[in-house]
Amino acid sequence: MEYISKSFNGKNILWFKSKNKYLILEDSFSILLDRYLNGISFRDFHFLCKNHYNLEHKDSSSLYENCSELIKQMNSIPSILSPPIIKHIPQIENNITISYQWNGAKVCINYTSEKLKAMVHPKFQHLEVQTESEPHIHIFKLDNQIGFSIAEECLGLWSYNEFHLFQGKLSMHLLNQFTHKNDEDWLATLHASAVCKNDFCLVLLGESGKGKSTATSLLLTRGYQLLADDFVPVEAETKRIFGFPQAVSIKETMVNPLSEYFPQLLSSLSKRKNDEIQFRYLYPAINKVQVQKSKKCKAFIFIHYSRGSKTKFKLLTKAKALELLIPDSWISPLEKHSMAFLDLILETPCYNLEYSDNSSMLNLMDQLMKDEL
Amino acid sequence: MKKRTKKKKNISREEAIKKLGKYSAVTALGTFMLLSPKQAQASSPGEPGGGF
Repeated sequence: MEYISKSFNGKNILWFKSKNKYLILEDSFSILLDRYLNGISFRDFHFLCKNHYNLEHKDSSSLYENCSELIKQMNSIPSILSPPIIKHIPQIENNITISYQWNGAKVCINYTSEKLKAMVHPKFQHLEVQTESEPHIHIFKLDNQIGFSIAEECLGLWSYNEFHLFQGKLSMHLLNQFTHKNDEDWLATLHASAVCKNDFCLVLLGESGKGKSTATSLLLTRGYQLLADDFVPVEAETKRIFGFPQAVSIKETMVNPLSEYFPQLLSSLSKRKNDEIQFRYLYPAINKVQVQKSKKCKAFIFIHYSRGSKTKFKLLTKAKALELLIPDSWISPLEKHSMAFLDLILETPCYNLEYSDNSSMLNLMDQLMKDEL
Repeated sequence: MKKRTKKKKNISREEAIKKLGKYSAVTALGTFMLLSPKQAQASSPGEPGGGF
């Protein structure tokens, strides 16, 4: 089983190419696992454990079982396959065509119904321009699924429950069209928000509903600029963070407190995310023709707004940061990219921040940006 | 017949720590974490509302 590895703080992270999986383990265990993968006999394995780590027979047996369990788990994962090619695309009629502009480039989307337009357009309506052009992207419904095509090639079909995957794929294509790049030019896309000042940015991460977008909008009131919300691209060539111009989703409960800074929120359309959460879009001020520059990440901050809690700010171990980041990110499955992604995380400070007091959160972010921590 | 009394073998605190330490060391040594990145780009989970 082919893998490549990287060491950090007495641990090793292995990336298994055919499965696109990452494995974090102790340095010494990775030596044993490597021997196991190369077909070492149990007798020699035990001998190695005894000589190098002074382990008794039962302990080396237990480690041998761990190796076996691990490889069993790994083998049960199907190998990465190319997505199936979808040939049948419904007849596209130019129903609703809208042009969008960002980064000096224009993209035209054709929606085959008002309903589909209402699902996509509000996130990007601030990019709309009144220029007629041929549609680049067609968004359509087929067999109760949503799909999109570019140059008559269908990029996929997604069911109702997979709408977030449709949005992710569409965002990736919009990003590529706006920047004249391909999927291979990106290292990863993070489920995060990013704000910047000059050449540097802070990336805020955390589960949905933990306060990323709210913290982001508060940072915009302190002289930061929005880089991206919810979908944060990482440039492959530079390992720097790139922008993405979709609107910021603000929870309904935060609309009134934030309307002091963003009065336009009060007139923004309220939308439903799920049974519990309603939100409104905050449209950042955007220069549609200015060519965007990527920013160097100062820190990755996992934030958690918790009502009534004291501010707790701590440096995360790299193992913990990787544990949190990897499952929540799309990471390019190319070998050079997976290693570059690990380099980025290992060389950038990662923090955990639990807070309820916004001003202490804002002060901490300022200090991070100024290297005062 | 003499009643046999089973003698409990007491170990010293130091010995216990030594044993426990070794046990934890082996457990820690063999610990692993398997992580799967997302296989496709995604946005925050949420429903578009009202079906397609």
